[in-house]
Amino acid sequence: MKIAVMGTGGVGGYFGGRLAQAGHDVSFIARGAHLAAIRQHGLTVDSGLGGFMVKPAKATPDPAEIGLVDIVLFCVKLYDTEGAGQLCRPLLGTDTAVVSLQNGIDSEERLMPILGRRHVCGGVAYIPAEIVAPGVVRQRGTLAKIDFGELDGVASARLQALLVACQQAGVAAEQCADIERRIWAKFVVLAPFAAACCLARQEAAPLLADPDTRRLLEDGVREAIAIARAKGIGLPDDSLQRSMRFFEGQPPGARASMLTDLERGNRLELEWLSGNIVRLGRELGVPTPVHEVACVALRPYAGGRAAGSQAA
Amino acid sequence: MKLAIMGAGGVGGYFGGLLTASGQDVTFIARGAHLEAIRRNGLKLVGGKGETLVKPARATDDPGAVGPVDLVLFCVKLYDTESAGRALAPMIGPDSAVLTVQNGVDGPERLARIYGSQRVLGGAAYNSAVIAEPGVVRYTSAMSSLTFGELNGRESARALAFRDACRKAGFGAELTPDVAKTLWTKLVPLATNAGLTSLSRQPVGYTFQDPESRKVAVKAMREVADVARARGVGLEADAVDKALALTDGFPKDMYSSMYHDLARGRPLELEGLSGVVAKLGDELNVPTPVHRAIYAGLKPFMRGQAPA
Repeated sequence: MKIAVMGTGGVGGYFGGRLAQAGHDVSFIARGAHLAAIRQHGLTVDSGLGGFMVKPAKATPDPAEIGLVDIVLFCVKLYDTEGAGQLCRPLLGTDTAVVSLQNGIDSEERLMPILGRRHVCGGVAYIPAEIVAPGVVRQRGTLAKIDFGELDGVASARLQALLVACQQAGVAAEQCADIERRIWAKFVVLAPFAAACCLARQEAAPLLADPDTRRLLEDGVREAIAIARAKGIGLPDDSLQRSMRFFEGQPPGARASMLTDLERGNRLELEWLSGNIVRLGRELGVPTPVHEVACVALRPYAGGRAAGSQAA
Repeated sequence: MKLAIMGAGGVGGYFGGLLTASGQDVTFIARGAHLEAIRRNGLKLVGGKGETLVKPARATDDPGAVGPVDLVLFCVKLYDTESAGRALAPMIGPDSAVLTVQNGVDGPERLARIYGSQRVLGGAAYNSAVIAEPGVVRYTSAMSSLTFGELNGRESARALAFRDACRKAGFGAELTPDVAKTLWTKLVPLATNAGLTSLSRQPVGYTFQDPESRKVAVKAMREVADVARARGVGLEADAVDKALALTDGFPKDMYSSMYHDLARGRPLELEGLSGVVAKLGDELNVPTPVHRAIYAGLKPFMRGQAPA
């Protein structure tokens, strides 16, 4: 199977790395020092499920060098969606599937006008992972799974092929008829987690240990669930309890990647997380005060330090 | 009048300095390098209206050395209320009173628990000053006045006497028959400005001029007003509009003093500002989501730590 990984961060590096290790023809699209390191030394994956190296690893800044592929794993940060989407066009054959494994709820909608409806599939990555050094990605703990599905819910041959490839590579994966619901189910956990971690500048463990910061997180999840329900997304009745159990099950040191981005002065995914919750809340008449406060308190840092905003 | 100033910072140092300069018998209770500097060089007030050197200024860290006074002007940070409240006991004689002009709304009741409500007066300080260096208080605004009164609302001889002493010292002083109203009216802009500039680590200009931030700020002000009214405090109908007019008049690059404390890793007055709004909101079933989020977001830094 021929696969391109658009964005070789924690998510793209881990799943693409496993598929490459299993013998699939995987090309990594990356930039800068990370790209140089992958080209020179290969891609190192440090993992709670067993680390490994992909060497040599095919890596390039330019998708046009790769040619047509069967699958694009689309793993860039939400603020790069349109730009990276444009770059993917040379990868598309007649039946190529672009599976977005991004964090937000509107990636598919944003990619469709750029790539064409039939190429866009939905996906969800469940994995705490990040780049720890150029050429090195780390996955923490034992969680590393992807869900994907056609947007119309129909089981397709192309995603069945991806599923088989994942299974061969030892990657937990599922082809789903309800991918939109799963995207939302992750979003109602992730967006409030990012907001609460960043507002309080705390990792998961201290956030949960204090009753007031815990309530901040819980209220943020409640708001996100209310938005999902108002959109007609069928989340389980006990979504809030499930979310809190999920946070409690996190390994020590677990944190929202947006907190790391805030501390490092990187750009933030804020607008596509809390920002979208606030916008949808206004459209749907659902109050979202926690996410409003998060937007207002964090927006001065959303452009990253390079954009001229101050240290957070 | 024989006066003692408990806490010689931006509020106590400023008003106490002017009272001393006007000839009142004032002793400052202070600590550390600030105390040493006041003893050695006097207390210097610097700012837009020129420099005032108050020398000699009597200062000590030992209330026992002062003996009973007519009035203690109580100006410590909220989190020091109980410890400083107990420490001033040697200055309390049969006719002594304590006037708290601390931020927040619960200073009077916390001191009344120690000295009884007959001994305690409450009020609000309207000024903007900080300790610039040991022995030096820098004021950044021409605004300077005190509004205070007896907790039972009566106009007492001691309140009138202190009001007159203040006026003689050259700053505004008004008596209020409704201390709770005075404190809650001040809390509307204070808790909101302190909370939001600290949470966003941004100055007043962003907090009140960015359109989205302004919306949140107005909500936060309304929450304080709603809690006050649910407590039975007779806030004016336009309290939020007036608060917004006040914050709109602040210099754009100004930060709240809580932000400065946060940036320096010092303890925060959070518990007595957004914390009290959220806590009373819960008790009274008044929603206060903005102050609750501010409280939660800053709570990890409340006791002070490494620079945020």
